[in-house]
Amino acid sequence: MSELSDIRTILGLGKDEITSNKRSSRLPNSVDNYLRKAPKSCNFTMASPQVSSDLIWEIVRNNNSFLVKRKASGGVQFSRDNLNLTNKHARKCQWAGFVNDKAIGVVPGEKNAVKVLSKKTSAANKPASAITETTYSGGKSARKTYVAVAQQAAKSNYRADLRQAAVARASAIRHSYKEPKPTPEPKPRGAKAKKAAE
Amino acid sequence: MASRPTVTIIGKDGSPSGATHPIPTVFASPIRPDIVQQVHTGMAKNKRQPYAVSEKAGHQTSAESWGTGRAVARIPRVSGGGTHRAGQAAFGNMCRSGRMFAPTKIWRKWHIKINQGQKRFATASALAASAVAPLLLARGHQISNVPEVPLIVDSAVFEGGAAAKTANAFSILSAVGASADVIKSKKSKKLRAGKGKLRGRRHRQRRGPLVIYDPEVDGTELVKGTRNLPGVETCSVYALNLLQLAPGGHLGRFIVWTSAAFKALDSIYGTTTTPSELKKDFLLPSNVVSQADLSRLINSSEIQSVLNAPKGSSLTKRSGIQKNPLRNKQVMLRFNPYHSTFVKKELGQQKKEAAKPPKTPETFLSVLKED
Repeated sequence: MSELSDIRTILGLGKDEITSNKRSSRLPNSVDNYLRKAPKSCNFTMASPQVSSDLIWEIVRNNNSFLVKRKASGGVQFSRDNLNLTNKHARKCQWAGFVNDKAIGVVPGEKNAVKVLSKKTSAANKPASAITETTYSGGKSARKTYVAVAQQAAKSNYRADLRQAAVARASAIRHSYKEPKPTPEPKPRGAKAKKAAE
Repeated sequence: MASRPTVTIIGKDGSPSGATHPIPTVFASPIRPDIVQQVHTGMAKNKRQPYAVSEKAGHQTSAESWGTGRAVARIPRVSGGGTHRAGQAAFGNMCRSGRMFAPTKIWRKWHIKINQGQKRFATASALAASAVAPLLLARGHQISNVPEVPLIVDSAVFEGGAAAKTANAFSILSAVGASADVIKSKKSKKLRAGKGKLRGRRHRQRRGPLVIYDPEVDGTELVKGTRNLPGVETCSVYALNLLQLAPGGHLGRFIVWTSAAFKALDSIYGTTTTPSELKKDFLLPSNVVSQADLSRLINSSEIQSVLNAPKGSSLTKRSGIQKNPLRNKQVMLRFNPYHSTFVKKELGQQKKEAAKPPKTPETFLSVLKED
């Protein structure tokens, strides 16, 4: 739990802000039930009500600097955005991080570390201070790193489906630090094996 | 822009100067990429110079057709003899040294008229987009060190020709976090592919920041100071140009405002209700929707309170799935009503009578083998 409180302070969130995030508490009961079933909102606080992330996505979805289009495999579309956990160019499930007000990203850090980026909703128009970095050093055990990444994704009210993607990405980054095993010498089989045995 | 009414004015060393300015109404204009693209396409055509091939090209010969009966095509042929040219086909677009097909004319429709209202709308739209950080990122601007978007630098920083020298201008830009974009632009210089190299468009390069100033307050020295910085462009706030505000028709140019220029926007554009002071009969376009966030709309109490409760359970009924009659008795009975009798009488378990077949009569075999 000490990590969690660290994250809270890093994110600049008070304890109250996290606990008071029940958005539907003011609504009538029936609505409350509906909201619990409904998927969580993609957007949280807005810089301006007229410029929503829905609008921004419609403007940038066909062409943007992060988009990678390839003719291979039926015209795949990827994203180079750091705040995109799956590197897919898609609005679905909040993958398009740079568009959203609230986004999380996992990138490799220095010395085998895993860095978690998160976007501050309060600093939507302040690019220099918009992104918070949390580093989980390479010395930390894999399980502890994943727990920390998952908690960061879970406790600060991101979509639930981002959690697994965040952990998977952290795992892939850690895996990439390992030196690949040397390819084993091919064992002789059949006639060659008999010859070698002689 | 109720939630963010003011913008910080950045001082000399990149820290806030303490002063703020309410954001002009033009930044709340609707962002319409369709209008911006259409106006940009038209405006980009308005600098073209007419060109055409020579009127005489391909026709400077006295060729005549030989007519039929000479076993050659009826295309005009060069008359005379004594050279290889004689007897060669001429004039046609398929002929060597013939005229081109549909020779270009200088009276092609080079320039496009764009309605002034549309041009103003597009400019206002491009300005509004320049204050949205995700759109700047989508255009590829390097803004990770920029303290705030829109970026406003105190006019005092440019006072007295402080940006008249390129080195000084660059140090000002790097102090406010705009240097990364200049460096990106510098590194992006590439040789153009194709014939454009020979036609005065040798290199291609990314655009950097656009510095917008007020010539009356800031002077024009900064134009000379920045003109050798790769990718950096300057523009007077009184003569904004869509080709600079949305290069390529793509919204979200990174703009560095001087505070005087930023303040001038109020009088240049007015608001949605008070007309502009400098543009005749101009009111800023207003937004069609006041809330463009779809999930906010969907989850709003106004919408949720009039929705019916969701029908049925969250699980869908799998009516289309076929069940296996060999495993499911009820399904089997539906298919085969005899099944119950078959099971009750244990017909499936009965073995066939084990008796041997009767022996073939001798007479039959003897008749069969009779020779």
